[in-house]
Amino acid sequence: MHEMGIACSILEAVEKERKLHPGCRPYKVAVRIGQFAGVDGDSLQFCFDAMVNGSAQAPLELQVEPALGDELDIAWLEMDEPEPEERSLASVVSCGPNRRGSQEATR
Amino acid sequence: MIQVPIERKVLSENDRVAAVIRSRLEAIGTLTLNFIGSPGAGKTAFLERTLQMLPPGTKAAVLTGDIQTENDAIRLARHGFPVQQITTGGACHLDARMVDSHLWEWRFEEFDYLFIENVGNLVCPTSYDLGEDGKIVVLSVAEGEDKPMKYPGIFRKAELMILNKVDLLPYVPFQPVLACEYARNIKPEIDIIETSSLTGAGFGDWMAWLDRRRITKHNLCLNSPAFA
Repeated sequence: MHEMGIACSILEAVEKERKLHPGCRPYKVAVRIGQFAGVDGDSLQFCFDAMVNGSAQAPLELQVEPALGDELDIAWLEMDEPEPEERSLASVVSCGPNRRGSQEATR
Repeated sequence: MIQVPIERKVLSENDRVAAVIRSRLEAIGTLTLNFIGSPGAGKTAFLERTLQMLPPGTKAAVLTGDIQTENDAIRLARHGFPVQQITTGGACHLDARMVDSHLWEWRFEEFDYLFIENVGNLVCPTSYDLGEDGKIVVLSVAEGEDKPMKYPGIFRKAELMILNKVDLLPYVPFQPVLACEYARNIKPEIDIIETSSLTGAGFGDWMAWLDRRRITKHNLCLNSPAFA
């Protein structure tokens, strides 16, 4: 139940980020879980998959990364770039102020 | 493919609500304590005796969380203080939104204390900030003394460990020294008070701790811009 609530919060954050990047499709999100965070990575994975499967957010993968202390953070999100015709439309709509910087930093 | 750095707390929305609660309680100088312990650790009985022992004129309120039933709220309300039950309907912890939605139903005066009794669980409640000033972990001698090692998260976050039901010590193979040692291995500076809600043992120490903590909070609030 606890991990279900955590999975819900992660999906809300992914959805918020998706709206900032029109035309992009999230397919992997990484979460760092500290040893004292009180969250079990396997349970979280199970709950996350159960919520995503069959939903509009599928396919979306969760990557759990070990961390120290009570850290429980969303680290990063990977997204497909829009198709060329979507890209031209998306560029009109604007992909958000941080997108170009993020792309250049991680390519 | 693009990778977007997020670097945001998973529970950022909960933390935002908790910050609002903390700020509003700070404005009225209320000391808020979040009690966390296993089912059966004696949290409700401990709070009942605490309410009985508060000095006359003390203003206190209690929010008590349970998965089902209003039994705890009924018990706590017998002592003449405002009490609200938060029935989570299956959730294994309280979160800041639950507290927020119940807290402001009261006509809030300048409460000296707000006690929050979390759902009986040593794991999940640890992750959720409720806007409290401090977490208190309640461990009973009917449990294993190695609980601090098994559930380090809550013992790391708690500022006080109540070692409860010490009246049972003659009948159980619990070693208090070991329990305290394990707790201090996790958090060396944790305060520990041994109590029995049945006999009242240790409640003098507990009430003195509570009063000191209230005065510290009050003095902090006096120096805060939020304090009206």
